[in-house]
Amino acid sequence: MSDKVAIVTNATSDIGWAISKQLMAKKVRVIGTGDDEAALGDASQHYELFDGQVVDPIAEDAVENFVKQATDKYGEIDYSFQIAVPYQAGLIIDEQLTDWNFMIDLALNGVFLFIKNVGRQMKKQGSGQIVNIASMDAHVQSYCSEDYAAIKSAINIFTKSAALELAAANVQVNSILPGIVDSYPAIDEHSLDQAETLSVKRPARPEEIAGPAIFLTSEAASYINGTTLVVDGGWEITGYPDVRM
Amino acid sequence: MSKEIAIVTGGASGIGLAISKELMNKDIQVVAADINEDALNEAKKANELFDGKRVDVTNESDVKEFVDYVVQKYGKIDYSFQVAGASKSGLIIDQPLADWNFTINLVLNGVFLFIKYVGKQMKKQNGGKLVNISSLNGDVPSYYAGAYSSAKAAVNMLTKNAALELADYHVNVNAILPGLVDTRLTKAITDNEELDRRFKERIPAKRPATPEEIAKPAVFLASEGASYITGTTLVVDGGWEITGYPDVRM
Repeated sequence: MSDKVAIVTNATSDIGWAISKQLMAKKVRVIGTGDDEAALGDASQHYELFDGQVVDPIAEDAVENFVKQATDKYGEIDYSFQIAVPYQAGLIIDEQLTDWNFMIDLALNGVFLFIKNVGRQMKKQGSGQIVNIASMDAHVQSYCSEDYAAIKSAINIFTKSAALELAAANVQVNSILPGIVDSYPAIDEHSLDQAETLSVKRPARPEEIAGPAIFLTSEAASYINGTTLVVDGGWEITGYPDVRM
Repeated sequence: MSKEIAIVTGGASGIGLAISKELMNKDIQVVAADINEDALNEAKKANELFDGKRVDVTNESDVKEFVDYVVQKYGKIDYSFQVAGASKSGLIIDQPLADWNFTINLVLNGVFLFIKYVGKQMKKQNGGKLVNISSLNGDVPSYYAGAYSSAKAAVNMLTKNAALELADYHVNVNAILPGLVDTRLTKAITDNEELDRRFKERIPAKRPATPEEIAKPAVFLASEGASYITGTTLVVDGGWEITGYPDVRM
């Protein structure tokens, strides 16, 4: 049995749960965080390897205590997956500053606080693998998601900065940029229209994002650090209209 | 279930051989296209899953004949890894056109010809995975590498264009961008103490990759786990690309 330990934030979200399940299938202990107490409790009850905990990702004390307690309980943190979920649509000229701040806080500051505290522990251990789930929106902007795109871009560069800082401690930090994923953020008619522009004509299953994310923490990815892997079914390459006749 | 079939260009040495070995470990039949007959014969002797032919990847009829041979003998092509490459380095203002043409021909046209003929077969099959071994130089220029960097940047774009054109036929096309890799071609760097020091200073991992550390991500991109990955590039460089700034830590 593997004695590896992983933190997964937003562990009961679609991608978070797909990652958690694949880790548990590899006998990795998952400490899953989130704000959905019922879902986390339910998962903890049904999966022996799952330890769900409610953690406010933007409260520094809460994140610090969580990482400390997780380390006390399990001895080390081998992997950490940061999955920031919130998404709200709006145009720049109409957006309230409070909404903007809400998004930055939850999606960007949360990742910062986790990497700060997990990174500190991994530096002490002299090893670890960190994967952030960003978004293809970090490369390609879209109407009504300007805060989301800006934050995901920031997470990409933050990933690289963290990789640079932690490389000497043998810690790798990379990110995955998913395109459209089944029910993430939410499949509605508009996003299904968007799927028409994809090269592969369908959204990803959450497992198709989880597999590459876990690959980045594997032994096979030992020389991959400070980079981003786009997992978008060829969406990013469709900037031009289809001119085939 | 019939055995899966993979083409590996440059498959008898360096990164190509490491990919061939990874594939054979998964019980996949490898058919290598390589210019080096001695290396091909040696690899054939070492593993019965290794088949190969002498191919000049810049020669269209060589490539067409090779792909025909693979399809006739094995019936299909599940994977194709375009690895073959080499360059004639030089500063732009001093570089003879012949050297420039040599590099563009080998690095870029060799990949085009394989994607063209293998892609045609995969379109017919309605499925397949293509992985090109490009280079960090496709993103980052370097002294003496004007031709090589330009050709690799073009390979990155060719990768995306092929992904776009072949997506309807369930063919994934991606590229790996290795940084410094410990192979025969980079010995001139790693054997030179001063050059070796300058490179390692820039690479956060403080060492070149082993060929296996490039082969494994390449094989991952061809796996079921990468089913939603197409038209993209994966940098495998030990964090080299992110060190544009000097180390300012005090």
